[in-house]
Amino acid sequence: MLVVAAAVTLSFVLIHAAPGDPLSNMGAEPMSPELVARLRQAYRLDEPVLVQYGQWLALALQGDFGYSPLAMRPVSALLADALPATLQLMGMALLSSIGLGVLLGGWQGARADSPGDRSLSLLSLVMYSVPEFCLGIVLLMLFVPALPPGGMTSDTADMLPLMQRIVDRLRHFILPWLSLTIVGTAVFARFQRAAMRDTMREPFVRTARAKGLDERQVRRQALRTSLLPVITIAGLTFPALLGGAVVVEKLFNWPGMGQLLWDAISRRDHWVLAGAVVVGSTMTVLGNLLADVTRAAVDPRVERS
Amino acid sequence: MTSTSLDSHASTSQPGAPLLSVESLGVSFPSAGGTSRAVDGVSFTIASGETVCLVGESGCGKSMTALSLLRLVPPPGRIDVGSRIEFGGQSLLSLADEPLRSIRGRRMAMIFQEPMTALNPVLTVGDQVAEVVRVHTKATRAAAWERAVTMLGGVGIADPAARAKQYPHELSGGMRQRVMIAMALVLEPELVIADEPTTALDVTIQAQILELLRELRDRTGMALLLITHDLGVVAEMASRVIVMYAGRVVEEAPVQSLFSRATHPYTEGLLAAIPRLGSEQERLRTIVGSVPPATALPSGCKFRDRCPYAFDRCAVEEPALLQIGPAHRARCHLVEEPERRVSSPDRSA
Amino acid sequence: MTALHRGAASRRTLRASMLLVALLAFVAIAAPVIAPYSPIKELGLTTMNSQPPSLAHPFGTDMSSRDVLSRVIYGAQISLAVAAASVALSLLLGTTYGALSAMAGGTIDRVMMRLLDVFLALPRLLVLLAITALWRDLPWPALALVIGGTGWYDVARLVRGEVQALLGRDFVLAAKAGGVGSARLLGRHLLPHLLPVLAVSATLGVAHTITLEASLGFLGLGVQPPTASWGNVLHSGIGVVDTMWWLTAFPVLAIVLTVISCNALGDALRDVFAPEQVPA
Repeated sequence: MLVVAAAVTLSFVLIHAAPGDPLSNMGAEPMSPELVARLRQAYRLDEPVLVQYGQWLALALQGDFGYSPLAMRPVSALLADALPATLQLMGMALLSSIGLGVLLGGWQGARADSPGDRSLSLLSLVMYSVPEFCLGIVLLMLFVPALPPGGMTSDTADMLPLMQRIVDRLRHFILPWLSLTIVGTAVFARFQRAAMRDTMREPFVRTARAKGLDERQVRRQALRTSLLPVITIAGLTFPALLGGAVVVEKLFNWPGMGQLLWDAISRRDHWVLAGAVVVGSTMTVLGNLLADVTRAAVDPRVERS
Repeated sequence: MTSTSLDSHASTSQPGAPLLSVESLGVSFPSAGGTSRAVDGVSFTIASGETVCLVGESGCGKSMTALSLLRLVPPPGRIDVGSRIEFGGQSLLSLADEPLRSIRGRRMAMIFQEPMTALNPVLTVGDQVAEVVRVHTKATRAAAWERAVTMLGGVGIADPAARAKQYPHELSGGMRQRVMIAMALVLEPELVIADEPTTALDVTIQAQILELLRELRDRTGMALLLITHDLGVVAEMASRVIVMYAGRVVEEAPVQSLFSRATHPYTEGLLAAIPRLGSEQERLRTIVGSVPPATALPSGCKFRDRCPYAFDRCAVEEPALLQIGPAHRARCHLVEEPERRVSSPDRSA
Repeated sequence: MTALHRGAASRRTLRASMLLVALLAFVAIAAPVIAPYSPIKELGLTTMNSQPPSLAHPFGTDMSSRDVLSRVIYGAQISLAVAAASVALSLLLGTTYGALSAMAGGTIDRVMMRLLDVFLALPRLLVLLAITALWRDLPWPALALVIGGTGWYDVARLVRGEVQALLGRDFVLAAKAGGVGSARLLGRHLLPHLLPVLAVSATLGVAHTITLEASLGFLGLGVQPPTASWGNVLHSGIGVVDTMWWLTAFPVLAIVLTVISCNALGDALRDVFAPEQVPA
């Protein structure tokens, strides 16, 4: 909760600290003086800063981020429209990254320093180092025009039968998803590899072998136990993943938060910007919370209240 | 699986032949500074139903010896070529993975020293005991669980059905060790190796655990290889004792002979160091010096730097295991030259 | 693989990555000497416009007739300068905050850590986007300041953990018993133990910063043309990827190579300093 308040405060500070009036430079063309005056009144920009802050805080915590004169809609409505698309992309990418990464890292960790492990580690390193949007660019160069260059659906999608609509969706989805997932998998694989390698050295693994379990069963036990730190880590990487997703969305014209942000930036729609920052932070907090809850549910060592 | 009948897992060995036979066992650890031998030329046998104690200070190689029996030596350590381990007539070292796996836990089991880390923290103790059953038999989950609960009761855990659903961190140290014992004994193996099973426990719990082991041993007729550094445990449990130092066997004897007629100076030192009530000694007797590192062993007899009787031959020639009595041997030149048993003044503690 | 082989392989990786990083640093520093042309000079508005790679211009020219190779080389300068400055700032801020928190202990420590949690939850890129969007055309030192100012949280947490562990050790007790004050304790006794952790953090931080700067530039923020940065060369190549591929391919190559080297160096350093000592 503190975080959200901080985010709200931060966005306020940023907007008002930026050069120029919050309303100046807004939009591609200068706005008519009447509009400006009306907006000034609506935002109470002529009142002392502290009052404005109080107002902003109160409204923002209720989800009201003001009105975007450029889009002619409340900011919160814009955010609400963009959020599902981002969640779709990010959510799927996160799930697949964790899934693949854990499997890969687990495989590597059980065979630490073997030739297979070393080559995979090298691959991981490369994939981990490539910024997501660079990967996206490369994928675009390789796969367009076989796959669509951007957007979420084709223009004619609505007229297609269901099956083809689904296929169309998938074709648009796959490249941005791939950009995020390849890098994400490398990130989780690295973590999991280290966790798995350490777990394999724990005494209970020796006990398992002494009981007569074969290597596969031993590894499965070790994997289960080594998963727990990864869950916590997953929560912590949320902010970084969000950042990567934003740029990828811009690259692929995916109609989510990233695109919204980009538009807001280019048209200098500060209020949308502020709203987006707050929403982003909230998502991070929720992500962490989810990770904590999951961990508590799965790890018997965690105290249950 | 039937109940406690030895015939149900009759081994392929001849009657009269030992259950376990270890010959010239060596375990080496390569390192940057050279190869160190944690175990060097160790040989011994264990008969069915016999309790043998392996005694020595930390670092003498007793744990490595035990791990070798189940081929659990951690890399980069390796069992040396030329070692021989025979169990029930089968050579363990040349066994393929699958047959080896079927022996572990079923015919030969191990109890580890630190139950908190030796148990999987995220599985219930019931699951961990039941796992042994499911891996080696065709029992259903339910049947295996039943058996696990019964076994937990058999090792003296009260309310075993409820306890079985708990996790290791919810149990006390003594109970965790009982769980380990349950895991090892649930399939009634022919040989149980216990690596310092009581060292991590309080003294009162120690007594209980030893009592439990004795009881189970008498009930199932299993052979027991008990590894310890505590001579009190030896006195209570062993029928035969093997003393190790610097990776070698330095004395082996039936337990009575060891305590009454210890021959090797190291064993003498160990026995002398036990405080006795009512004696007129004022100071505890110790063995001078400390165990040499495996990479810097002295020439000849490895104990000579700490031995009160060492003489010139000891520096040159390492003694062989020499016969003293019917089942009593010691690795010391004094067996052949008893007149040399004169302590040099600077060596007695 | 035996322990011996593992050690040798890590050392090989260490040497290789150090070499690569040194090479890149050299290119950045020696830019004025190496680059064939000035990065901002327009070489001929109509004739030299948008040329594909050739002998004279191995990386081609961009839409303002500037030599791309030179822009990439000078871009290295900008990227590495921003990275170095911001990482230095992050390390300074983070170490101070973390060490102070650990040494203060008790409630102060708890409060500081909660505050840190709040900071950590704010998505860095979003904040940076907001800042660079609101203040356009930041000179690169200011950019470095901003990036460094948002990057110290991880370092702080790391340092706090390390210092806490160190404070429990006997040599600290001995120093305190000898009357050593807090500042001296931190500087002379604790800092040397922190160096491995900081070194790994620094290399990984440089890698991360380069990515951030490139992302910002790609979006049209941060360092603006005519100053050359990898990000803004990429930006100029948006939309013409099929026709003027050289505007995209070469900066991507440069970025990826640099980041890989830095990450590899960080990993190798971590292995050399003994993996148990440095938390991942």
